[in-house]
Amino acid sequence: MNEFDHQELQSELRRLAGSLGEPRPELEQQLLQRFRQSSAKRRRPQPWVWAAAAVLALGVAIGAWLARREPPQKASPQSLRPRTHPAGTFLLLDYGRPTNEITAGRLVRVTLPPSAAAWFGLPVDPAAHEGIEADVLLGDDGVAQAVRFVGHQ
Amino acid sequence: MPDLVQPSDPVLLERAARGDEDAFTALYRRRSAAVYRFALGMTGSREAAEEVVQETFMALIERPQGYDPQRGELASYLYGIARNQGLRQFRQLNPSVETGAEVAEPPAILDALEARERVETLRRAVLALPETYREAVVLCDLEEVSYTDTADALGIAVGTVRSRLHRGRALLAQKLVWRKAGEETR
Repeated sequence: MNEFDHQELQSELRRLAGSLGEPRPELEQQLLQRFRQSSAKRRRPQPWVWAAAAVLALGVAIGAWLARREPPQKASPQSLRPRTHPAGTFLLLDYGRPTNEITAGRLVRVTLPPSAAAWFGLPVDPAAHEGIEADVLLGDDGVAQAVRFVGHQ
Repeated sequence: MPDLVQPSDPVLLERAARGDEDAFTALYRRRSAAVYRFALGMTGSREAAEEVVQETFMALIERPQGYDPQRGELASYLYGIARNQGLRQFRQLNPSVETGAEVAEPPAILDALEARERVETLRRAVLALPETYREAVVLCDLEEVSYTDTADALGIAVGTVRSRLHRGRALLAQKLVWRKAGEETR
């Protein structure tokens, strides 16, 4: 029986390795295209980021509004409300720009605690614990401009 | 004066993960050929090997935190990804033989044909090896990756690499002996 020694095998393997070559140059361009798409996608904020930003922005807005209010003489839950608004309409936030100045934005639906609706003058069952859905209008700079309570009776 | 100090793989990866296209290109040019040859050695198909290369680099860039420089070289990590990316293809593809690159400057046409035939025979023999032995032979013998890096890439112990390599070489030698014997009895 013929011997096929280790050295001979290594020599043949080296020859095989040399024949394997490289990927086609076009592959680099295809991959770069995918890289660009992937990078752009990763830079774009995910929907949950917008929702979190909206909740945060609204919280800040409510806090700012509360800080600017003069404390009532004898505060009661009813008297704390700034004014009554009909449900389903957009309520401008204090530091928001006038609506005619908002040229671009993003509407994000969030769930807020009932107390948030109460601060905007909407009647809320004090015993209610379920969140209330609201649309927050974020300006192109990411700042909350207005809020609309959805389906609030 | 050109910059002679090339950024390391982890540095290029970090930049590429931040969207630096030049860093990604540099990393690709540095490492793609080895990944391609590994995939080609495993599948025997240029098309499948190129797909493995694409998917490997995309997986790397989409999850760069998966690579820990403390645990080994990026090259080994890439072989590991390529192995996972291509595992399905390695198994689905029937080992097929495609024409390799021409042998450079053959001394004579008959010698060239014979050399090419030997390469093709060996290619078939490698592709016919069981997957575990094939991985070890392709990485250690064709790509000349160290035993340690091969062990990292395959997620096995160095001793296992040695034994798989030994067994793989023995199977190859056996096949080639049969071929040689066949030629001589013609």
